[in-house]
Amino acid sequence: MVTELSVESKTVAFFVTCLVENIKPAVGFDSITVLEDAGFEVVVPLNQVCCGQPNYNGGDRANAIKIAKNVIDEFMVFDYVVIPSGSCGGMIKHHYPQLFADDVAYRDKSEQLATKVFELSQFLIQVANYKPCSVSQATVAYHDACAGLRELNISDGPRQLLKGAGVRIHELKETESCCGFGGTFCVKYPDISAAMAERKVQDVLSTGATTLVMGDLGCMLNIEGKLQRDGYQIQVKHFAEILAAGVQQKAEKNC
Amino acid sequence: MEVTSDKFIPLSEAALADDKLQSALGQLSGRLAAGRTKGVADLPEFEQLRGEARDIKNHTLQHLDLYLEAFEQRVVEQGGSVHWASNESEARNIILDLCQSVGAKRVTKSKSMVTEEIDLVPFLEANDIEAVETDLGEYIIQLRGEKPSHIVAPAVHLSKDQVSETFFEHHRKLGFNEKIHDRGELVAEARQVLREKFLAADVGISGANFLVAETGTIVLVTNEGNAELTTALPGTHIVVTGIEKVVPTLEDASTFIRLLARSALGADISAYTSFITGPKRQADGDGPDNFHVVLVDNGRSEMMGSEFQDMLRCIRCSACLNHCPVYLSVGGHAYGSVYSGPMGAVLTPQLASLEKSKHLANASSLCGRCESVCPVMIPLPKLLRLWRDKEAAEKLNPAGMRWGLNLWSWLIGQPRLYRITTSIANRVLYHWPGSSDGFINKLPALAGAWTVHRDLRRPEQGTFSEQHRRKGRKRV
Amino acid sequence: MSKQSILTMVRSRLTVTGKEEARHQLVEARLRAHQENTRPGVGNLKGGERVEQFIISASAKGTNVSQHQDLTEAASHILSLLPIGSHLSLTDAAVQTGIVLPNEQIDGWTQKTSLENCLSTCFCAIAESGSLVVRSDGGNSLTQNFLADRHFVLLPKADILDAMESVWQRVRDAGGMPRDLTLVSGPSSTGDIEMRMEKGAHGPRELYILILDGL
Repeated sequence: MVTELSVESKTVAFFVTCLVENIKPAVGFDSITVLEDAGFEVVVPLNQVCCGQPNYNGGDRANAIKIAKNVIDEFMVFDYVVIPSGSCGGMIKHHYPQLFADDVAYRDKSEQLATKVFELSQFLIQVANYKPCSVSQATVAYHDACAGLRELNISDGPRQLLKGAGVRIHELKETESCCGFGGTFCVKYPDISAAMAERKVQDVLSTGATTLVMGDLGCMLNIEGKLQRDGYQIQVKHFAEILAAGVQQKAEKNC
Repeated sequence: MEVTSDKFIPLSEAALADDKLQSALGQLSGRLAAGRTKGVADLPEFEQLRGEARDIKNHTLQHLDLYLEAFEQRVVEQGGSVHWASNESEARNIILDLCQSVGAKRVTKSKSMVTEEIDLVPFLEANDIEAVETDLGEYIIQLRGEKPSHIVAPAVHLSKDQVSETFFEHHRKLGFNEKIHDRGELVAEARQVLREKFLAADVGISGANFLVAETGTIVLVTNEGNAELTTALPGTHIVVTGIEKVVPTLEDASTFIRLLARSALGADISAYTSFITGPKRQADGDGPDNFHVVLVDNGRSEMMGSEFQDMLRCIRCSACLNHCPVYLSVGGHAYGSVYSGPMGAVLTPQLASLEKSKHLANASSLCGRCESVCPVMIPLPKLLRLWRDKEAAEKLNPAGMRWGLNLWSWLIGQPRLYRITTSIANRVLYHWPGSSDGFINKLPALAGAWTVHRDLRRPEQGTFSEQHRRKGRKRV
Repeated sequence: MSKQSILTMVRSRLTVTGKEEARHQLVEARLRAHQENTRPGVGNLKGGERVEQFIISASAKGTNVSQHQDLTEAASHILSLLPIGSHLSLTDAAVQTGIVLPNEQIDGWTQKTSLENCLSTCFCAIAESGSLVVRSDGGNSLTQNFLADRHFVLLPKADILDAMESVWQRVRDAGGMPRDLTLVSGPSSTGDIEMRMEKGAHGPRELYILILDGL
């Protein structure tokens, strides 16, 4: 637990998320690159693991509460907490206060923390007022991850950032349809999940884009895995990767 | 309520493999969801009306006892009768008694989900009363011996050819000897057949979209005109309705009417919106001599005073079904209940049993689209989670899952141990044999469920924490 | 008694007894006040705009709308629409308007029979949704209207109201709700086969509204 830290308004605490930690750390490092380019110092608290969604969505409210308390205690001290995921962000911002409906102390803390928690694109736009670096990138398609869309209203933000980087977006026909990940849903009801993923794949193909962008690693692994299995050579990226590539290209130009 | 929701897994597998059904479901979204999107865009005040509708229902539910009493009083003042049924068996018996009391042999029915819920028609037929569904979709599935697969469009799972076969099979004995393929002509044939039924009926049974307490009025929303012919032609009209359908005034009903057809398919109003108040009066040219309302509880009152009370706001518009990726993948029959989609997943465990319907709340990615389109803002994902909580508390969910979640929770409570464990897992997956170019195509156990249908990106070499340390960065 | 057990359950869940004076007063006041909720802008039109909205909205639903100076014009329009050799039944209220139609084309109508063409009047109409408001009383017969293949309705322009709320006002002023009051917002249709709209499910296949400008 962090006891002393100079909490300046230019420091953000980074919440890595399980999937970034274990499968695609590059998304985490790219997020940090972009945040630093936006002029912020990024610290990564050591004692962080999971936001508790699997337990919360799996009928295990008691453990979800325990996990949430740890997250709240760990991150409360910071001015800003940034998360490269709409679903983890939504869990902390939107659901934590509901978890503590009967616990006044932690409800207050969770509401306080909620004011400091930002999904990455929200932070870049609302707090950092970030001007993305230009990046050379072919036209992309964009998928709205459900939790971020519905719980945090993340829709225009990432699009604005991508356009700011000079990236053209060819919109999906069904941009707001679930891709079928849904946490444990995809392994508990794999056939239904696959049918949903297949519809998303067909939608992506219909745009002709060779890259699909989104803001949640769960969706990414799901759609990317389906595209691979179906034999399509379409890249799937987190928008942080695109923005970080812009930062990289800027640095190379300046060398 | 009888359900086969415990068969959700095999039913949904069958549904995914059924090409005809998949084609029908593909049509559904394109017509209904797309229609709603346009209909909402056409009404600038839509969001405001949604909030008001939610508030009207919440207020009414908070005073449900008084509004039901007021409604009953007004119905009786107009010369009608009100009957209260605690459960489906009582409801069926009340309706049978009312039919037998007028010597009814032939009944026509307009669409009513509550009568499906209480399984009324087979009961009447077992008691020698012919009961014919007059809503075209309900009529078709009645001929086929099927249950509805959608709460508004019961035959949505069928193709025109299937309807053609069904009509040919059943109408031949009525003198229709040609198999018809044109949709318009199929509708015309049904019109002819059912016209005879309307004119010969002794009793007409309807549901009610809304009950207006102010005037003792029932509101029926249709497009076909079967509600009027069902309720005005016979000598007796029986309304079967859930207790939660009451709204205070005609003005309140107007708000819901503005939202109902729009939420279902985008229309500003349906072809016919009927407001029926009591039996025939002296000034009427026609109408039934007897008017009865059967108020059905069947588990609804138990939802009051809990978070599930929100579900009683439902106006049965079907928007949640039409936007649900799970419903659109497997259709209504997979749910094994007459109520399907997100509203069915919340309502069925309450009206039937949690044990039999435990899959329904779990077969959801909790994407939240349902809540975003619900005209009365029911927090459907939250209610699905509550059912999951209850299942865990009653140990109805798989032990392996409870065990796994406990283990996960314990592990992440020890961050250092977590990092060691995940480093090992990372190494294992990084070196997982048998795949190429950055993807794994086969994993064991629960993870195998992932690789049945899709690859898994091979993790990077080293977890974030390991790489972070390797880069020489410090943690706080 | 099921009524008592249901109400008891509801009350216990709401933690009330049902005897609370404040609750009774609140409910009674709300029922008496019948306050309007938000009415969309399209339900607040007046004059020419209102008539235009009615015509646009009704036509969009497949209703045939025409405007006529008087009953004579209306009569001749109806005759021009009737297929050759077909007959027309009038409701009592339609007869009362004094509209003149050739006797050889008029049929009587007996209860519980289908009919080809029916002419009726209506209580009023709603511009917002392009709906007619028909009642079971007032000399019109609901079943006569609904059993017809083709339904013609005479609508004085002054009876085109702006929204449902104005209908309720008129209903209350006229002594309350009749047995049946139906908003007819187009011909009968169904989408039950493959989600495609077809006309003429059970009610009239065609609906003709004749707006009488002079009235």
